[in-house]
Amino acid sequence: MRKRKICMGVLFLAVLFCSRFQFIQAEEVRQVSLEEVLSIGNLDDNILFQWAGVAVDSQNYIYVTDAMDYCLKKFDCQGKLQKKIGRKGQGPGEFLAPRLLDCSRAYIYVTDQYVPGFQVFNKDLKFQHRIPLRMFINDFKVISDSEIAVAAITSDQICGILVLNTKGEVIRKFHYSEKNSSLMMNWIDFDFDSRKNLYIAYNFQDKIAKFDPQGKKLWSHSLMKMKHVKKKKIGSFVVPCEIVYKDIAVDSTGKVYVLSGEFSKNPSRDVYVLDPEGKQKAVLTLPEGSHCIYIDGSDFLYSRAGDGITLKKYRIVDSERQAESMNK
Amino acid sequence: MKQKYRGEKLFLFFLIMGLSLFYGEFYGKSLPIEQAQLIIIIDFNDFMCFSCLDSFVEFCHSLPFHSKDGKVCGVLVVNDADKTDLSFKIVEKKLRGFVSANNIKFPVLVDYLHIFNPLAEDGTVIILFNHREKCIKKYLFPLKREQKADILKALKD
Repeated sequence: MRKRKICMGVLFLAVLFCSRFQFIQAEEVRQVSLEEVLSIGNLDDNILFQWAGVAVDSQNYIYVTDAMDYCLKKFDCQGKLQKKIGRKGQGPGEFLAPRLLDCSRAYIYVTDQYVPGFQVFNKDLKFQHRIPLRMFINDFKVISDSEIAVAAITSDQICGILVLNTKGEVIRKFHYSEKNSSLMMNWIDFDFDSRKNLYIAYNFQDKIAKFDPQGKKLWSHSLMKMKHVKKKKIGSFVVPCEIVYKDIAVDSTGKVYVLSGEFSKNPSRDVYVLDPEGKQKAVLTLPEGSHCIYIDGSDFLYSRAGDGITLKKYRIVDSERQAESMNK
Repeated sequence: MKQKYRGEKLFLFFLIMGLSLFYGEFYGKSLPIEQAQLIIIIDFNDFMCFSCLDSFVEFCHSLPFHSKDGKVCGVLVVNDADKTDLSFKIVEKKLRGFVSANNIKFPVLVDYLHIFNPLAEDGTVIILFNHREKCIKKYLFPLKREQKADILKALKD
């Protein structure tokens, strides 16, 4: 009888412990919602046809590349088109497939999927000059008016981020992986926080990593708990065919936002929110699938809708954070 | 055997219906019968791959006439049968942007009813109706130089 009571007691404690553990987990990983504040482009207008990249400057002007009409477009903070430039071609201010962009204090840097290097424009979208490169660019971030960090697609430097000057000369190299991986496996997206720490999301591996400004790895995490992605043979190459993470962005408080690929509950829509130590704090779900996310200086999040004909701007609503600030 | 012919007859029926739709309803008048006509069937997968359509755009720019003569018509084929009305409207908007940005002078329509799907199984193609030679030819993109010359000659004759 006594034994039975002890057993029941242990069982009760075990159940209590498990439920408390679950409660803590649920509390730690909470849902964060999005509040739409701006929508640019709809079915009837001729503003956006297939936007590819977005960047916002310190005056809240929004710059967008549109791959379908070969243009770079500038919008004010109300979403009104201010100016657009570009047409199909390879001359100054022309594009074959405009893709990524980022801005410094004075300039807009734009890449083309089929032309290596950058085209540089001023804030009035006037073409300034080209920065020629020999390699294609998978991702880049402008560090200052004189430095650009580039994740380049080359056979020998694929595991590195190159810091270039305005002439395209390499002034620093940073290796994020020592391993010589197979084709495309080390492709990444990256972002910096305000302290110049580097955050990397691997496109074809379940890996998010953080490095300090000296290049020392601080942590590395897997969010999907998966081992390998499917690969297929194209000609003599074997390439991965499933994307694990599509993009990464860091807000002004150091929170890290990782856009999922094909393995999350809502593919291309779930955005995992991590604290600067890499602990998952929340998941937010975009209303529609997106190829990228962008967070501006005021911590608004931008993503794709309508298969690229619409750009959405959201306020990130963290109810717990709101309650805390109300109490204060 | 009969089954097989039935399928082909059905396909031809839809093809003729499609043609009469484009050349009858949309132009409001028929062409002189001896003139060659061209239907360019654009595969949506190619449409979203900007380098894949280079050959297509280059060919379009080499056509020595404008849309009003009704010799050329484009059809955008969307393979995904699950497409909703909204997604078709999105496709239509993208097409609008593409046509305008690439200065395409002939009309291009979205094939909502999937009439032309069987013809675009191998990607973007050209169907040439050569009345003078009494034949219909199919060309796959990217076109070879001699194929391009054949088509342009047939259209000029």
